Amino acid sequence: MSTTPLFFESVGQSIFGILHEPSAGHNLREAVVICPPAPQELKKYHWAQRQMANRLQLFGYTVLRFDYFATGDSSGRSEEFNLDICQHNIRDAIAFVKASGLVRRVTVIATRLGGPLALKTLESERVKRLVLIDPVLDGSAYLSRMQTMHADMLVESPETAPFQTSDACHRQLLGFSFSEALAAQMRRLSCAVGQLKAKSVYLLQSENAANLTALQQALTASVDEVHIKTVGGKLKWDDLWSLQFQDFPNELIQETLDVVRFG
Amino acid sequence: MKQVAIRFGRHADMIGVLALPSGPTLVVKRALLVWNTGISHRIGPQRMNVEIAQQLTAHGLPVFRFDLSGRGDSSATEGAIQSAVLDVQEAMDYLSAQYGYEEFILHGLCSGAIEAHYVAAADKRVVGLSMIDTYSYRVGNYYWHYLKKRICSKQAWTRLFRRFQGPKTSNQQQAIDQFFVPFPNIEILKTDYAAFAKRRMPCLVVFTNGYEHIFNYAGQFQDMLKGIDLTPILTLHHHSGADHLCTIIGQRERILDRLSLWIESNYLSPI
Repeated sequence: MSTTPLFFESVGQSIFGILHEPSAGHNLREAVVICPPAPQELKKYHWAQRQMANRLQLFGYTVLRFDYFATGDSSGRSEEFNLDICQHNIRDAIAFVKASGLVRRVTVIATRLGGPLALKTLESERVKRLVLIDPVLDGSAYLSRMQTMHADMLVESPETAPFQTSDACHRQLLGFSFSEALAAQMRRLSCAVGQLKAKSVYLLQSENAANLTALQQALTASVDEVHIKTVGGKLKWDDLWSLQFQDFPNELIQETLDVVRFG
Repeated sequence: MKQVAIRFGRHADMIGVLALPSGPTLVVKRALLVWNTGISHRIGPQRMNVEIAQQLTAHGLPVFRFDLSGRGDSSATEGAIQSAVLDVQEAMDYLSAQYGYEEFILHGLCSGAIEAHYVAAADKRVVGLSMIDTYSYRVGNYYWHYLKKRICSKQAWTRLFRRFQGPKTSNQQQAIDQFFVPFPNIEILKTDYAAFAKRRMPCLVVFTNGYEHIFNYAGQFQDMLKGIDLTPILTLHHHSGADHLCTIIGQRERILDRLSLWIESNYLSPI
C-alpha cells in the first residue's frame, strides 16, 4: 500500500492530490475519485475524506482526492477560484487515475458543491458509479445562504473582532475571495441533468439536508439505477460555527463506503 | 512559485508541500516552516499558509507547509512519541538533507505559535520566530485596560447579561475543547527569551482582537517578560481590527504584509 502526495496537470495548472494505492495482492482495479466541497466547507470535510480514502485503500481501491484550482494546496490565488475550471479538474482527476492502466472502473464521490460540478462533468466522462453527498441543488440559494452566514458573522462576532469595517463585505464570503464573476457562475449552477454517463447514482442526504427526491426523479430519465438514502447525523452545513470543526458523522462515512463496496 | 509535494519523516508518514521561489533565492540557505493550527490541516485558516507561501516565495524565501503527525494528511506512527518538536525537527532534517537548507524561520498561529516557541527553544537551527495569537499572561496594566474597556462597552454588558442567562452552547464548548493548548510557564518563557536574546533571534509577535481576553495593550508582552531586554529582537503588533482566524481578507493581508516586512528587514539578501 502506498499514499503519495503529488501534483497533476489540469488546464495548465498544478493540481494537488493524494493518491492512495492498495497493496499489489489486494487490488480490485477500481478507482474512487473524491470531489470536495467549496473552499469554506473544506475544513469541515478534510478529515472525513481522509478517512474514506484510507478505508477504501484497505479494501483494495485506488483513491484520488484532490484540491480544485485556487483551493487547498493547488496552484492559484484564492480569488482565481472558478467553477468552470473545477469541472476541468474533475475530468483531469478521472483521466489521471484511468491513465495508470490498472483501473477498470471508476466511482466518483462528490460532496456539496462537488455534486453539481461532478454531474456536469459526467455528461461527457464515463464512470461506473456516482455518489452525491448532500449536493448543492440550487447555486443561487446556496449563494444567498453564504451571504446570510457572512452577514451573521459580522453581526454576531463583533466582540471578538470589530468587523464593521468597509472592507469586511467587499467581494468576500466567509474568509474567501468572491468575485462578481464567481457569484454569476454560482447563480447559474444547478443539478439540472443532461445525459449522464454513469451506470448508477447514489444520493446520500444527512438529517435536515435538502430533499433529494426531485433530483432522484430527474436522474431516473438518464441513469439505470438511482438510489436515495437518508443517513443519521446532522452535518450543519449552514451553521457558521460548525464549519470550523471536523464533525462529519461516522454513519455517513460508513454509508458512503458501503455504497462504493456493495452498491 | 513552484510547488513540490513531499513525504518525509523517519517513517515517511508525514506530508507537506514545499513552495520554491521561481526567481533568485537567498545567499544563506533558509526556509520558513509552517504547520497546523489546532486540528485543521496544513493550508491554515482560510488558506492563510498558502497565501504566506505565495507572498514569501515572491521575495525569494522557500516555504514548507506540512502536517504534524496524526493531523491533516500525516499519519500517527504507532508506538512513536507524538511531539510537535520532534515532528518539526524531522522536517528540518529532511530539508537539510534533501535541499541543503541550514537555517529555519518558524511561523505559527495559535497552537502552532506555541509549538513554534518550543521548537525554537530546543533547536539552534531556528533563526527566527513568528507567532500570531500566542501565549500571553494577564500582567501589568491588563486589568486596568480590561475594566476601562468593559465599563464603556455595550457589548460587554450584553455578554455579561447572556452569561447569567445560561451556560456556553455546545458549539462554543466544542471550540474550547478542540483548540485549547496550555501556555508555557512564565518562568520558562523568561529563560527562553533570555536565550533568544543571546542568540539574537528576531521574534515577530502579532496579537489580534480575538485574543483580547488575554492581551489588551501594546506593552503587555514586554511587561510579561520584565527584566529581559527584548528591544533588539522583538517586533510586536497589536492588530485590533482582525479576528483570531484572520477571516476578513483586508485584515489578513495587513498581517501578511507585516510578516513580509519583518522577513525582508531581517533575512533577505538576494544574490
